[in-house]
Amino acid sequence: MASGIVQFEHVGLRYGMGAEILSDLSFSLREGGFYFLTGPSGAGKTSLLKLLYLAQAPSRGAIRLFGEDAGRLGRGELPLLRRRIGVVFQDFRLADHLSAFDNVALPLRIAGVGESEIASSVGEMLDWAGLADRSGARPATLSGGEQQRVAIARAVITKPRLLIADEPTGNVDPDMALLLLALFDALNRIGTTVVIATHDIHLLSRMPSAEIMRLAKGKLADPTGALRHPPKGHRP
Amino acid sequence: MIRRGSGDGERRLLPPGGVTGPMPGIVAAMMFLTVLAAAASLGLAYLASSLGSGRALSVEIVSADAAAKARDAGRVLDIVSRTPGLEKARLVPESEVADSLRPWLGDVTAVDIPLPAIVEAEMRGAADLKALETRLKAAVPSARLSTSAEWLAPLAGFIAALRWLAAGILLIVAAASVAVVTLAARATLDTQGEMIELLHLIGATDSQIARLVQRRIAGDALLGSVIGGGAAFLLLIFLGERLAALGSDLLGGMSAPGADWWLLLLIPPLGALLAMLVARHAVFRALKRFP
Repeated sequence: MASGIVQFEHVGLRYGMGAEILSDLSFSLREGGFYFLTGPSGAGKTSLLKLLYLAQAPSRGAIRLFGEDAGRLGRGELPLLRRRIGVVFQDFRLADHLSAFDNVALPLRIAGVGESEIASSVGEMLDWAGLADRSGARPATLSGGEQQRVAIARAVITKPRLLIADEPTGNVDPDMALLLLALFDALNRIGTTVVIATHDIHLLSRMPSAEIMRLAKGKLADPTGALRHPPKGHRP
Repeated sequence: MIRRGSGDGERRLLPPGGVTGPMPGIVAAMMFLTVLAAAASLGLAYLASSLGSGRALSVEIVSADAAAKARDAGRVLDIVSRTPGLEKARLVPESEVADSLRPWLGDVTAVDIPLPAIVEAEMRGAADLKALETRLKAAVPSARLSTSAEWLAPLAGFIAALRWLAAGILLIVAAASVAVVTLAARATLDTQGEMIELLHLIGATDSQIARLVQRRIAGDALLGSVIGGGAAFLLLIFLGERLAALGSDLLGGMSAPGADWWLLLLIPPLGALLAMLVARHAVFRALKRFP
C-alpha cells in the first residue's frame, strides 16, 4: 500500500461487546488530497471520522497519521498529532461562554501561542471567514451560517495538515454551502488534505476532482479507486 | 515538545465559575474542624507530657518521735537538695501540712495527731529517681518518695486517650475533605464535560486540562480554608484567654511553646494545596476515558 498522510490497516471498531461498526478498513489518503466520505445514515461515517481525528481508538488494526503509528504513541504524544488536525464538528461545538474571536483562538491558546500573535492571526482568519464585524459576538447571537464559519475558522487557524469536516453543510442554505465549499477548496489548494463527510449530492457534483469514499454497513467502497491506488503527485 | 498554554488566555478556557456551589462552605466547615482537632491533639499532647514528666516530687517522713522526725527530715532535705535535676527543695512547714489536711480532718493542731514531715522539690530535666529512692531508703528507711506523675497517672492515661481521639477525628475530617474535593472535581468535569472533551480533541494535554480544573478548585478550597481556618483560630484565641484566666497549673500544661501553635497556621494553605493535588489526580483519572 502506498504511503500517505493517513493509513488504515485492517481497522475495525466496535463499542463495548457489540458488533463491529467498522470492519477491516484498509486505505491510504495522500497528502493534499480532497476526499468526500459518503454513505447512508448509520453506515459509520462519524465513527470513521472519530478514528481519523483520534477521538476514538480502533478495536483492531493500525492507524498511521503523518507517518506515526497512533496506537504506539504515548498519551503525552497524541496531543501533538491532534494539533495537526483541524476538525469541523457536525454540531459545531462552539464554547458558549467565549466570543467568536476566543473560539477561533482556542487551538492557538492550547498550543501556547502568544497573545499578540493570536490577535493578528485570529483577526485575519475572521476577516477571511467574513466575520470581522462579529468577532466579539457570542455563539448564541450568531446565525447558523456564522456559527459554521466560526467552527471552520477554528479548525483551520493552526493551518492543519489534515482537515476533517462532518456534514459541514447540513445546517446551511445552498448559497452558504457553496461558500463553505470554496473555503475548503482554497485550503486544499494550499496543501491541506481535506476529508468531508456528507450526504449532499450537489456538493459532490461541485467538486468533480474530489475522490469519494463510500461507506456502507461498516465497510468501505472505493468507487474512484483512489484509496488503494492513489495517483502520483498532488492533484492540480 | 508540547508547550504550555498561555496563562491568561488559558484561564478563560473554562467558563468563569466564581464562588459557586457549596464547595467553599463545605471546605470552610472541614477546615474549622481540622484546625480544632489539630489544636486539641497538640494541646492534649503537651498536657499529657507535662503530667507524665511528674514535675512535683515529695518525700514523706512518718515518725511518732518529733525529734527523730525532724532529724530524718533534715537528712532527706540534704539528699534531695544535692540530687541533680531537682530544684527548690524545701521542708514544708508543719502549718502548711496541717492546712492541707484541714478539709478532711479539721483542725489537726487542736488534737494530738502526729503529722508527717514533707520535703518537696521540683523536677527540672531528667532526675534519677531510682537512685534517689535508694539513697533515701539507706539514710531514712521510713521515707516514702512519690511524684505527681504517680497520682496523676490515671488522668494522664485518660488525656492520652482523648489525644488519640482528637488525632482520629483529624484523620477522619482530612479523609472527608479529600472525598469532598474529589467529588467537586468530578462535578466540574461533569458540568464542563463538553468543553473539556473539545479541548482534548483540539490538542490540549491532560496536564493543561487538569490545570484548568485544579485552578478553579484550588480557588474555592483556599477561600473555604481561609474562612474555616480563620474562624477556628479566633475560637482558639478566645479559649486560650479563658484558660489563662482560670490560672490552673494543670490546664496550663495544655499551652505548647508558641512555635508549635504557629504550625497550625500551616493547615489552611496545606489544605488548599492538598485539594489542588486531589483535584489533579481526579482529573487525570477521569481523562483516561478519552483516548
